[in-house]
Amino acid sequence: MQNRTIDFGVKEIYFLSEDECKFFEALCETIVPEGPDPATDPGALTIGAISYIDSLLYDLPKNSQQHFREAIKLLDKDCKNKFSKNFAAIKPEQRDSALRDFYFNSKTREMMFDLRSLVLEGFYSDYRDPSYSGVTAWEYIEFGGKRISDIKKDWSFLKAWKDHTDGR
Amino acid sequence: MLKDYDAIVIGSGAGGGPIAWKLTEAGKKVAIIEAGGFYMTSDFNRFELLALRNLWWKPRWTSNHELGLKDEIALGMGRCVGGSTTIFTAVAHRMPEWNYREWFEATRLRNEDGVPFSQEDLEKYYEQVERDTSVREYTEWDEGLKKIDQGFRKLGYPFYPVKAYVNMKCDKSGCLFGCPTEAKRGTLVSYIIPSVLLGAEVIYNSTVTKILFSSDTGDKPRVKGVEFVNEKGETKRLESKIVILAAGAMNTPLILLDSGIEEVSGFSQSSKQIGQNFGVNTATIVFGKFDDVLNNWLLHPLSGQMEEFAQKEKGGFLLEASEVMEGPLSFAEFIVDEDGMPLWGSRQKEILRGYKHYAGVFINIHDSNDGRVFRDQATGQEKFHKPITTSDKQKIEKARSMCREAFLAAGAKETVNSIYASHHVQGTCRMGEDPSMSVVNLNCESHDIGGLFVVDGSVLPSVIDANPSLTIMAISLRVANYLQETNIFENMIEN
Repeated sequence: MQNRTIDFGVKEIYFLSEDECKFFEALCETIVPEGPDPATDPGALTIGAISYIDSLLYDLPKNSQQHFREAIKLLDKDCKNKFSKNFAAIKPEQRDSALRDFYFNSKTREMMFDLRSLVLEGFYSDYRDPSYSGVTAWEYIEFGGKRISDIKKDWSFLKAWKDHTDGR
Repeated sequence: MLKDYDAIVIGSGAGGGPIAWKLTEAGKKVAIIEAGGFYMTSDFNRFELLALRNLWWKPRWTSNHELGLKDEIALGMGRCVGGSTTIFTAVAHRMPEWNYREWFEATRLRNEDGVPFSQEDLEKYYEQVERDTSVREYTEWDEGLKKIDQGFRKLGYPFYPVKAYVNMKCDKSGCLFGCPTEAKRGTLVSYIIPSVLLGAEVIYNSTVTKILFSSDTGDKPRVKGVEFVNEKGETKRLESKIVILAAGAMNTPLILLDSGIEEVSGFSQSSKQIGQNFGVNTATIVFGKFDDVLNNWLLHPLSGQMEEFAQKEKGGFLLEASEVMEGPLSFAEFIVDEDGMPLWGSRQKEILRGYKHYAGVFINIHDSNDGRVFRDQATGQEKFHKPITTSDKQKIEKARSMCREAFLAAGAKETVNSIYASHHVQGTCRMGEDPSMSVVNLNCESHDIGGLFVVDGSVLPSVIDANPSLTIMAISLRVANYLQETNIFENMIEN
């Protein structure tokens, strides 16, 4: 576990550095933002998507971990060139513009999809950090019905949940 | 020496399933090696994330930018026992008659009598697959499809029920995450489990890295067996009299190239065709938002189709409905803005918030076989090139605008487009008699390597205007019949 000074709304961080947490915090805010009242209109940060991303990357093979670290590095480099700051430090509209450029650069397009997927998975899969018990994505968008509403979601493949013994 | 198996089948989807069953039923010793896991119907639930992780290949993107092109395609296929037939929509149409003419133009494919290969050559195998997999007309339409049909009727183009290998046990729980009711009669249920009950072995979570050849067997090299990495990460070898490669049109050519078939064949004309002629029926979806709550994720997806424009000369696009990806994660991944850029942020969230109001039309185009599957020599990465040509774009735009018009005519308030995707990969080891145009012959045996058969979407000489799994299964049974009629196992001199 890292020695953290900032709480990213999650119980534990196993893999990401503090700078990487800040990067993903900014990415979560950009990809799935919170509404005016996060209690009823949660975003990726609200439900603790950072721990999904952290646990997923933790268990990836080294070369895939490297792929994501490379993506962060390249996007930050783009942002520094254009806005003189890294992705986490720029304004929301600048982040949109940076991601758009990252997408329209054919060399980084796939990385854009991969980064976006991490956040989308961390939210629309109905994920929540073990420390969060409020409204999650499926409730928010009213995704449910036969075989869905009563499903037992198995998060045990994620370290954040494997190490968590209560509140399953 | 004694072989471990009569036949090793690589892949358990539409190509591998039927032939594995036929050979097992005939008393042959068969091993099926599958890259994905072995999940039973009882394992399937509606938890989208784990289904995507456990049953699907991670989407593999084209690298068209290396050709100076802008648009990329997400190629999504099944990676589990049963292959894509476990997680796709089970649409079961025979190939239209006009596609046989295109096949002849592509590789001069003729039957045993020297006559251009035609419907008659597949007829009895189609009939057999349709019996084995309980193909029927799917008429229990969902509300989304009924609305879409109303819209298209106003344009003069009604939808018709598809045929599907889905029996009456279907309770509209969705298809893309595996069928929980056994209604879907893909190869898992129809062929693989019966094979296992008769003694076939399924070696799952195991990736074939090489096909092994012996070159001291007379006029041409012969297949000896396979090398693979098993579940524990150990490299293993197994020997067999024949090898049936059915890993799908993306993996099959890569396995052949990685096996050094070019070198073994002395860089034959045929070996240069491996991985070429990649066609994908480039696809995209138009989603329409209605006032009514549809919950259109509880359905048998693609239960109706409109084929008025399917033929190349008539427009070259086939429409099927309804489809909203059955889960919010896939839907969120798919939707794009007016510039074709993937959505995120508050606009995407707003659309997701209305997810329950959406229904979708799946557009499949007749694209050309101008793509390529290969391994980058410098980086070792697998690569997929599949240009979206100007003509492909025109087909897509015409189809999109027709869908939008139909949605609005049916009362939808807005529409949203999707990324380009494909689930119909084809053509990378075409069948034909002329080795300069094809990789395998009429019976799907390699021109270069004796005892090596390719039986999957790779062998289709040109893209077909129907969901290809039924045709691939029919070809699989045809090759099984050829192996039995020619007594290939008994006549073989062991080496």
